[in-house]
Amino acid sequence: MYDFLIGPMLAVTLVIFIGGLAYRIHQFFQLSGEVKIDPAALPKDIRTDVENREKEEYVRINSASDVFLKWKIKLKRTFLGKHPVFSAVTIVFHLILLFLPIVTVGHNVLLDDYFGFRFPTLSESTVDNLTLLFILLFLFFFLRRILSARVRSVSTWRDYLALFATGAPFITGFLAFHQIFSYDIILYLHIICGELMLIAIPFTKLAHMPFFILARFMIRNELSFGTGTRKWLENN
Amino acid sequence: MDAVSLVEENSIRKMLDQKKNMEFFLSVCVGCGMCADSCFLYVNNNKDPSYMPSYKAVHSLGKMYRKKGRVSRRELEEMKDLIWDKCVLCTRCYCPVGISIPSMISWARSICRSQGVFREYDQTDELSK
Repeated sequence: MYDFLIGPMLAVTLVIFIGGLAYRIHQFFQLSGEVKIDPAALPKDIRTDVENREKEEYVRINSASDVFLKWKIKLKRTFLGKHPVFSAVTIVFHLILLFLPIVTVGHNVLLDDYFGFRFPTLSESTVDNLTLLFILLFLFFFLRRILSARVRSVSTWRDYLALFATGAPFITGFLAFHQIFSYDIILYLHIICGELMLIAIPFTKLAHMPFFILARFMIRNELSFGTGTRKWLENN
Repeated sequence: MDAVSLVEENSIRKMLDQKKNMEFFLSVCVGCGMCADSCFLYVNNNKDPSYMPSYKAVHSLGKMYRKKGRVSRRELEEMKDLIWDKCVLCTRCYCPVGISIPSMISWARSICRSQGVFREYDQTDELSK
């Protein structure tokens, strides 16, 4: 059972995961097109205004408090300043989700066995604490989905599915590490949940993983990170 | 158009198929509710969730996609309030994931119009109730 789960089953999972991601990326490039905007073609006064804004010249810096003011203004214009608590929660949640599985000792032992290389690892107690933190943040998202009227009003079963697909590998991993219930069964569940999560990424609401990077960095919009060069195509 | 006449499901489906990117948008909307505060109508209407940008898109165009175009005239009439009276297409809404919400509401309007459902010029709240 164990050999099957971390052998053929893992290979199938990775093929579906990478294939699904490639399909999603392909879909994005099909649905969007390159848009060329020549900055030199913009009127000159607007251009200097934009440049000044980029350089933050509207705040003259004479003292340390001006530096704080500058950052305060800068942050107030963004989501980070508007919702500091939610931003912190979501950033920590996603960072742990992405990096914790890579730096776990147990995972790297397997990786070393298979491919002969390993990533740097964190100590087991750190990983344990971060997992606990992740589970708490997961509960925050879960309670928010139930209790907050605005989130509840747009929630469907697919949102709960995505949330639980994310939380399950961490919860079972935590239980397996502490050997609560039968270790073997929980470990199997942990592997199955992790594989199901990877399979779910391209096909459920977890598709926001590739979509976020593609849409926020590549679509030209006043809210995009950097200067996007694409736009959604009409009539496709 | 006669209020009891049937909707042409095929033409709705055809219009839905034209916008593959919107199907993609709806499949990645995580319903985080963070677009709410960027909508001035939401902020000025006692934070009523039905004014939230994602609510307006998910319960109009999203509903059409979920039902694969098989919506009744009554459902389209119910959407009217959501996509015309509760949204002015100011395109200010912010989506952390990068979904273009106004384009979805605008396309939902186009689909409603194609079925003869639209907001009448002098229709006010008092008259419609």
